[in-house]
Amino acid sequence: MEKKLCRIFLCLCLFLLGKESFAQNRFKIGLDAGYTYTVMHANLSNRIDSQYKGRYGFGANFSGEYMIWNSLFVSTGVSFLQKNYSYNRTGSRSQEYNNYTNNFLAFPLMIGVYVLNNPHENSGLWIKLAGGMFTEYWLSQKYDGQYPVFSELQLDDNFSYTRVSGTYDFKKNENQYNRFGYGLQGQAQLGYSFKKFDVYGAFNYQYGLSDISKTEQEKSSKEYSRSYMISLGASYKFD
Amino acid sequence: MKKLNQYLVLSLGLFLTIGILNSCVKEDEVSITEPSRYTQSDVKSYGDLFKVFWTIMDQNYNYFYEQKRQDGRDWNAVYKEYYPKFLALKTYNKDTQFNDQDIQEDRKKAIQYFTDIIDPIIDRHFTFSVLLPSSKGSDNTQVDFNGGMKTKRNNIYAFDNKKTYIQNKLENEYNLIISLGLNGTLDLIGGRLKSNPDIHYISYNTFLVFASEINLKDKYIIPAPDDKNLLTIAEIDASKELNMIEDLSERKKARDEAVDILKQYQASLISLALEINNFNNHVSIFKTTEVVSDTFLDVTKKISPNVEKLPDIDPNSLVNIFKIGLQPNQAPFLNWFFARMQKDYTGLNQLQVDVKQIINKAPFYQKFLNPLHKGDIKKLIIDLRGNGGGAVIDFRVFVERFVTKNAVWGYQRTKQGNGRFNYTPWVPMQAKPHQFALPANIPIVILTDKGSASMSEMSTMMLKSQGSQVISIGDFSAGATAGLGLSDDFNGGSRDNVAGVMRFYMPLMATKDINGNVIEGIGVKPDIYVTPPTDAEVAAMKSSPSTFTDRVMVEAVKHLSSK
Repeated sequence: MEKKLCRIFLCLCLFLLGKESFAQNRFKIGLDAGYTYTVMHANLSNRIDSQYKGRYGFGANFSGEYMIWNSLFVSTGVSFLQKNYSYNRTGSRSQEYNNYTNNFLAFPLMIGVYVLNNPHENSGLWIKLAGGMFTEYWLSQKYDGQYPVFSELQLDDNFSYTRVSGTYDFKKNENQYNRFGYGLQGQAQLGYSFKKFDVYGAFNYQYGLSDISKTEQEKSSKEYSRSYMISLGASYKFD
Repeated sequence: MKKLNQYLVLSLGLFLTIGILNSCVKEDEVSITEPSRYTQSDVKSYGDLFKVFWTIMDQNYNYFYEQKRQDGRDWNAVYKEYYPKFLALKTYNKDTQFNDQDIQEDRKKAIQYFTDIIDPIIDRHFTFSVLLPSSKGSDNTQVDFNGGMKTKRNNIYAFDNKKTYIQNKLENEYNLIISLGLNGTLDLIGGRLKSNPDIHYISYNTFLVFASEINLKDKYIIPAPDDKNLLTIAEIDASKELNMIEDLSERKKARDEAVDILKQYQASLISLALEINNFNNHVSIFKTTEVVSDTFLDVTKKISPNVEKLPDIDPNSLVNIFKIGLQPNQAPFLNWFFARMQKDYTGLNQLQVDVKQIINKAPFYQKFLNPLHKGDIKKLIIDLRGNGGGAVIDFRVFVERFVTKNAVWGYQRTKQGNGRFNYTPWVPMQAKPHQFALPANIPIVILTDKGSASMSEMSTMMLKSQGSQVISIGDFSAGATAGLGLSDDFNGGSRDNVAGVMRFYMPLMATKDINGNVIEGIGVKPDIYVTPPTDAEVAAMKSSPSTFTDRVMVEAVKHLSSK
C-alpha cells in the first residue's frame, strides 16, 4: 500500500513538473547544489553504548515552480540527495562504527509563498517559504565500518576488530530496507532576481515519516531519517 | 485585496514555520525494556508471557532473514496467530475459579503452542526455558524448548562412550583431565594409532582446551631463608592477636598450628634455595619455546616434593574460610597470620601451583604440542564427534596451532538496532597461525557427527579454510554455528533470566561459511559422509569396546593411509 502511494505521488510530481514546463505561464526552473546532513532517528535505549550520528553528504535539486495565485506557488522537482549517517558504539566499545553513505532520488511536492517581494513581478531581493511532502527512492547504500569479531577473542579478553566496506545488496535485501520512503518537507529560499535569472540560497528540511524497514514492526523498532540541505543555485523564469 | 494577500502570506508563513520547528522537537521516548529488566509485574498472564517472549525474540534473534526464507513464516504472522491463543489461556494465575485440570489443560496447550513456534527456529543453540503452572498446590515447573525439537537427532559417538575403545587403539597416549568447577571438566585423550603409528589421534569432550596450557610466571622469586623480614616464631608468640585468645589451651593449639605451618615454609625455602635458579632458567626457555624438555621436567619433579605439601595460607581459600568460621575465637589471629604469611610467601605458593600444573600437563606437551610444532606429527585425526563446543578462546590457544596461513574461514553478522532485520554487514572471521603452530601443512582429518556443535563446527570450518589437506569425515555436524557471549558486546542474543519466569539461550550472532552459505540448522557437510551409528552400534561401543568397529575411524585411517 505504502509503495503504491509513493508511486502515485511520484507520478503526480512528474506530471506537475511536465505541466509547468509546458505551461509557459509564470513559472521558473531552478538548479541548486549544496551539502546535506542526515541523522537516523531510532530508539536505542536498550542498546548499551550505541548511537546514530549525523554525517554530511552532497545534494542537488532540480526544481520547477508554478505561480498559481498572486504570490502563491506550487513547486516540485527531482533531487539527488545523499542521506549519510553513522552508527557508533561509545565508551569502551568506541572502536566499532559504520559510516553509511546513502544515495536517494527525492521528489518533493510543495506549496509556498513569496513572503518578501515576488521575483515574477519585480527584481531585487526575495524570500520564499514552502512546505509539503516528499517521496524518495533509495538508489544505493555504501558502508564502511569496523566491528569486533566474536571468534577473534584475544587472550587479553578483548575482541579484535575488522574493517568492512562494500555496497549493500538491495536484491538480496537482508536488512529488509524499504526503498520507497516519504515524509514532510519544508523549504526556505533567499534570492535575488535579475530579470530572467535569479540566484538563491536554499534551506530544505526533510522529516522522514516512513520506516527504514519494509517490515511491519513495533513502533519502538522503527527508524526514520531527518535531513537538511543547504544549497546555492540559480533559476530561470519563463514569465 | 492587497490586505487579504498579506494576511494569506503571513498565515502561510506562520503555518510553515510552526510546522518545521515542531518537527524538530519531540517528546522523550519511552525506553525499551532490556530482557533482564522485565519483572514479574510484566508477566501476569499467558498473554503477557507470550508477548515478552515474542518481543525479546523480535529484537534480539539473529536469523530472522534466513528463517523467513526457509519456512516462509513471518514473525508478525506468529504474533497474529498465537497471541490470541495464549490470551485465551486463563489459568496462569491459578485463580480460585480454576481447578487443577483446567490448569493442566492450559499448560498442555501452552507447551504445544511454544513447541509449534520454536521447532522451526533454525538456530541449534537456541533454547527457551519457561516456568509454567502445573497445579494449584505446586510451584510452576520448567519446560524447555529448542529449535528442531520435533525431529529425532541422529545417533552420535558420545565422548564417554568412545573413550574406552579409542584408548585401546592408542600407544604413547596421554589423558588430561582438568576440572574447571562449574564451567565443566576437560577430558582430553590422544596418542599414536597402534595400527598406524604415523597417524596421531586427538579428541576431547569439550572446548576447554585452554585449561591444558601451562601458564608460568616469567620468574619465580622466593625469599632467602635468612631474610630478616620474614615472620619468626618469636613474632607469632608476641602477637597481640594470639594473646587475645583467652582460653589458654586454645591459644596454645592455635600457636602450635601456626608455628608448624611456618616451619614447613621455612624448611621449604631452605630446600629450594639451591634449585630455584635452575628452575627459573628452564622456565625462561619454556616461555620462548614452549618445549617441556626432560631436563625441565626433572628439575620440576625435584622441586615438587618441597612444595607440594605446603599448607594453604590464602585467607580467602575455602579451606581457610571454613577454618576461620569454625573457630571464631581464633579468627583475629588466623587472619593476621595468614595475611602475614601471604605477604612473605606468595612466590612460594605460586610455585607450588605451577609445579603441579607442569607435571600434570607435561605429557600433553611432550607427546603432542611439542612434536606438532617441531613437525614430527605427519598425519592427524582430530575427533570432534560428540563435542558440543565450549570456549571461543580455544581458537587462540589451541585450534590455531593447526593453522599455517592467514585465511578467512567464515562471516559473522550481528544485530545493530532493534529492528528485526537491523543487521550489521557480514564481517569476515579470520584464522591466523599460532606462535607454536605446526610448521607446514599435514593431512588432517576432522571427525564430526550431529553431536559436534558450536566450537566443534567453527573449528572444522576454520581448519578447512587451510586447504584441501584438511577434510572432515562422518555425519553432518549439529548446525549450531553461532556464538554466545555478552549481549552488550554485540547488541543481540540473550542469556537472560527474564522476570524470573523464563530464560533464553540465544546466540548473539549469525554465521555463514567461507562459501557464503548459512549452514545453521544444517551443519558442516563432511567431505566423506559416513552414516551415523545405529542403535546397535551405540550399544556395542559401550558394551564391547575391545571389538567395536568405528566405521568413521576406518574411513579416516583409509584416507590418511593413502596420503
